Amino acid sequence: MQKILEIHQLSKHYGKIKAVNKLNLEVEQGQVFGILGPNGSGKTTTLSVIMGIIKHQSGSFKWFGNSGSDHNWKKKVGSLIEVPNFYPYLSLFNNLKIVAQIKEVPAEEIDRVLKITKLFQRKYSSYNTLSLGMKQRLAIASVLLGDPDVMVLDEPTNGLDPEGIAEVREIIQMEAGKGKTVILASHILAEVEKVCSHAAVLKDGELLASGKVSELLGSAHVFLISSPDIALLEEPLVRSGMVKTIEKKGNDLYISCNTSVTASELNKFAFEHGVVLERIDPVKKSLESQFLELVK
Amino acid sequence: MRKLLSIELTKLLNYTSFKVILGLHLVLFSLVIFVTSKIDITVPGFDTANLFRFPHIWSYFAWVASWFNLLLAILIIMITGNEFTYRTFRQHVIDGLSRLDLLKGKLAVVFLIAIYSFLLVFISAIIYGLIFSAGINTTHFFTNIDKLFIFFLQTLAYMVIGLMLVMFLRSTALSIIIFILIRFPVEPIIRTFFDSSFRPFFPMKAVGGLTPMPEFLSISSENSFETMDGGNALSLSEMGIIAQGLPVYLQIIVAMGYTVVFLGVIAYILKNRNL
Repeated sequence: MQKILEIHQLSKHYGKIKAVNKLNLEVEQGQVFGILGPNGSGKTTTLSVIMGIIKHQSGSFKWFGNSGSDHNWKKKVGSLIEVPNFYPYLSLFNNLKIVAQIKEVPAEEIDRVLKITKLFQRKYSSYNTLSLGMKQRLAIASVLLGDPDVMVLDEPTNGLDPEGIAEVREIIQMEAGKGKTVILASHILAEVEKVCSHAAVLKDGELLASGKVSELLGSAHVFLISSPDIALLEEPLVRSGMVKTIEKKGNDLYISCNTSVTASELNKFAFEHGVVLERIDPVKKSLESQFLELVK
Repeated sequence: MRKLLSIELTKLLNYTSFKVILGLHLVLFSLVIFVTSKIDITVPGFDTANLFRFPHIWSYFAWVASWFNLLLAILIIMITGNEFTYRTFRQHVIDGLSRLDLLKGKLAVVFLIAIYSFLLVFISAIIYGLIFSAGINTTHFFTNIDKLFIFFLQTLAYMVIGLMLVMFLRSTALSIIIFILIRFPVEPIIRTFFDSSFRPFFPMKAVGGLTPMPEFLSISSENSFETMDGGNALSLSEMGIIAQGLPVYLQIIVAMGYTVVFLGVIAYILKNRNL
């Protein structure tokens, strides 16, 4: 896989405050990479540095394997950092025309992206007549201009209503489906959980964890098993040494196991003890609890 | 460069304040020259219409137009200040312009405005000159037209000073106020602490001195009053009423020197600050 972005030991200080501290990250082609963290954890600063609008103190980053100051790579990257920045007195069309000119993208693209973001009706309205959610959608339209290989999105669902959030998610999933790489910063876990394949968790500018979302979620093996005769199983399970903790809720048992234990082994074990299980569910520890544990 | 110019034009042609200020500039200049052309002072030996005849018209019009350079400097401050207010400089870099491109784009606008003001003065001067010089020998048509080119340089210099202020301060209102205050009274006061031979080298003075006030008396009298030693009896600067400036070539070198240094400062600021 081609490496899209490599960040190496990146640091950015504002006076004494360490906004980003020795951060290492790698994003590969085709990943939908979530950067998670509470407010003020350095997500936006990191994205601002890699987009060249903030100067960093030490460390380095490479786009598409090049660390030069060549700006051509930006034509392949659509980016929305923090808030939409447009000229309030210009129409949507003219605002996007400026971006299209910078990216050297044909003007026909403008209609396409306005249609995707459902702003086509407002093509000639001036920007300051838009609602907050529409402004955010225009920013996403501008990211999509020129069909970039990589999208960098910082809190893309800010200010959007539930419908808008779903639409943005759809757009991201559609782009990812085309093999595009997406880098998405967010403090909303559900957002990352739903769309991302990989994620990194930041706190106070430091990397706490990174990896596949499924791995970040599945690191603890918890199963939910249930049966009318579940009481018969409780003691043998503890004695077998397969489980670490057991929690009983009515006919359900929540058991946290050693990593090697599989669902079929559990089923076999229960059957040998004369209990027929109605249900075996691997319980995903939600990103939320994982996240809260990590940032503590 | 064409790409940058086209981007700037999209921003400007749809910006009402830009059109209003440029319109004001045009109307004010036209009004002043129209009104002064109607002044009729009938003193024997003096004729103010001489100011409107070739070749004196070039320096007179350039001087009048230089009053309104303030408006053009304010215009460039507003346009650039907007980029900070709307955070669009930031967005441009995110979208793929280099930081130097931001400066190049604004320089393109500075040149465009300077060319407009050059053409405005040039065309007005041709029209008035032809009207007032009617029947008079017009072989002096383009003598002294160099004054107009010097005026062009002055327009550029003022706008670059404005550009530097706003790049540094990032606030339209603050930059305009400081620009006006430096012109008067801050720099003039500071100048008084220095020796008179040093005073013409201050930036505002150096730039302002590019278009000195015409010698009204000697022009309107057709230089007919000579002193015993062959000098001009009605020259205000020789009389000591207005301060004598630097030689023209030195004046241009100093003013352009400042402009180049200021451009360097802008490039430095843009390169090293967060956007």
